[in-house]
Amino acid sequence: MLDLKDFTVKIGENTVISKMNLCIPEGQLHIIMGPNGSGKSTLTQAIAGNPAYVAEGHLSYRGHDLTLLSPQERAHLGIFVAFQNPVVIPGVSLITFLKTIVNAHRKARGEETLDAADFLTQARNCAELVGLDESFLYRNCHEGFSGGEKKRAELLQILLLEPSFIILDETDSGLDRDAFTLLVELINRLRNQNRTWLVITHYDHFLEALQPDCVHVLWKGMLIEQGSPHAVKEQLRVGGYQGLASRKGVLES
Amino acid sequence: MSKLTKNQKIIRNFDRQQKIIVPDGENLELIIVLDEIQYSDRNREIFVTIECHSHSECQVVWYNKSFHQSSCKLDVHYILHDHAILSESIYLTDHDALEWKEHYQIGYAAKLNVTALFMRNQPSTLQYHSNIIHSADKGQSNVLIKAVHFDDQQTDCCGEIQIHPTVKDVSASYYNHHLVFAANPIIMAEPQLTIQSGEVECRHGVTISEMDAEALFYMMSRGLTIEQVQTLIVDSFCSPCLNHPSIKSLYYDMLPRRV
Repeated sequence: MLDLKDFTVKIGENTVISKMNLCIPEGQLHIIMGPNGSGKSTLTQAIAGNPAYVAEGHLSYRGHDLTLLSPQERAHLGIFVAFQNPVVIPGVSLITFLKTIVNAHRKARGEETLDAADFLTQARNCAELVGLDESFLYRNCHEGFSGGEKKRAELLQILLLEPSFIILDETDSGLDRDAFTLLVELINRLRNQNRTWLVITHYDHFLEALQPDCVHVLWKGMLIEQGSPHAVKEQLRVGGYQGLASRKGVLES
Repeated sequence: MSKLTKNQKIIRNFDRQQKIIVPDGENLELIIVLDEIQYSDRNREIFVTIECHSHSECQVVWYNKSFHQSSCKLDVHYILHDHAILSESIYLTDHDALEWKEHYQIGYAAKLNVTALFMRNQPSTLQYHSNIIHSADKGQSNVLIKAVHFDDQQTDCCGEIQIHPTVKDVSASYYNHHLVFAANPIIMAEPQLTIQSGEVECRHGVTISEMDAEALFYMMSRGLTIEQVQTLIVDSFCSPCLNHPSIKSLYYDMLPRRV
């Protein structure tokens, strides 16, 4: 279970997330929707432990106080953020990076590192599943990748690392129709009672495709609505995010 | 063409003026371990000439085995006659002060490949200058210099390529890359190209880059410690220069000390 209580995130002097309360029970899939600048990506960065984002309040996963843990310790607990725009890692091939992170996780779990040939077979199979051409494995990590290819590379990491808590930060943005269908199929295939999801998106096309357990609406760093996909969709039908914020009396907050 | 028989020579003593000749059609590997060298010159100032005759192949490997500090001046002249092939690999950790000048004269259809890797671990001064002269047609030269800066020090890596006016079909490249972990190193890296002929192909590039905070966070969010990130970045950066078995094993032996 991911649990946030009075969770505030600041970047420099600016408060981007303000006293947020959010609970995602084990095995559930929640969606956070919101307009540009509402704090969606800031929330994901803070959960992942980016030191540029100063967090206050309660943030725990499976009973572990995440605020006390470094980014790699959070990753070893099973937290994975598929970033919107993953950075280029110059000089490091994707396959080398994947092998290094898989072995780092195995080492943290006290397991032996994977044999190079076994790993390569596994990486090739997973790349095929996410629709990433094998040639990308040998290119520098994310260098010259299109938006869609970067997202497929993030999904590839999910398949290899098998995290227990997955945050998808606008992974659907910029995907063509086929890639979106593939993404939905992949998420639905990976859903189980031991894996929890937080999906961040601008759009409501995930609501029907994923049938989430709960949908939250983020407005200027505050969660202003939550409910079933149908209920939230109805709320947003009239006036969009701005209309909802106006009806909630937080338009100018 | 029949394969050349390789001779290996390990150099342990340096006279002030040293001349090594690779005869026609021969294949020689020279291993020069700088911290094992007995210098005949008190000032540790050495002039070396390595002359590769026609159709010969020469591999020269320079390295030091430890962080042993010493200062010396090296002035090395390579002469490549027609169709000669010279591959030079350099792997150096710190020296107290090292002044190294390399001059290459590339003959007709001769080929030169240089890779140099400098691991800058301690405050020290390194000056490494190379000067390549293409005075005949169809010559090739490829230079790749990489340095990792773990500590504040002064590093001066300059390279000059000269291509004479009447020369044709020459291909030359010079790349010089620096990876910086130190706070305030002084790095000078400048390629100088004097190309007087239009029928040549030349490439050059210099980069000085630091570890990016966002890249560091990204990799840590995938479960890597700062040390693992640093090792991954450094290994990937250095791998193109680990082209000789001695250098490769030395590099990995020194890894724990480096990180």
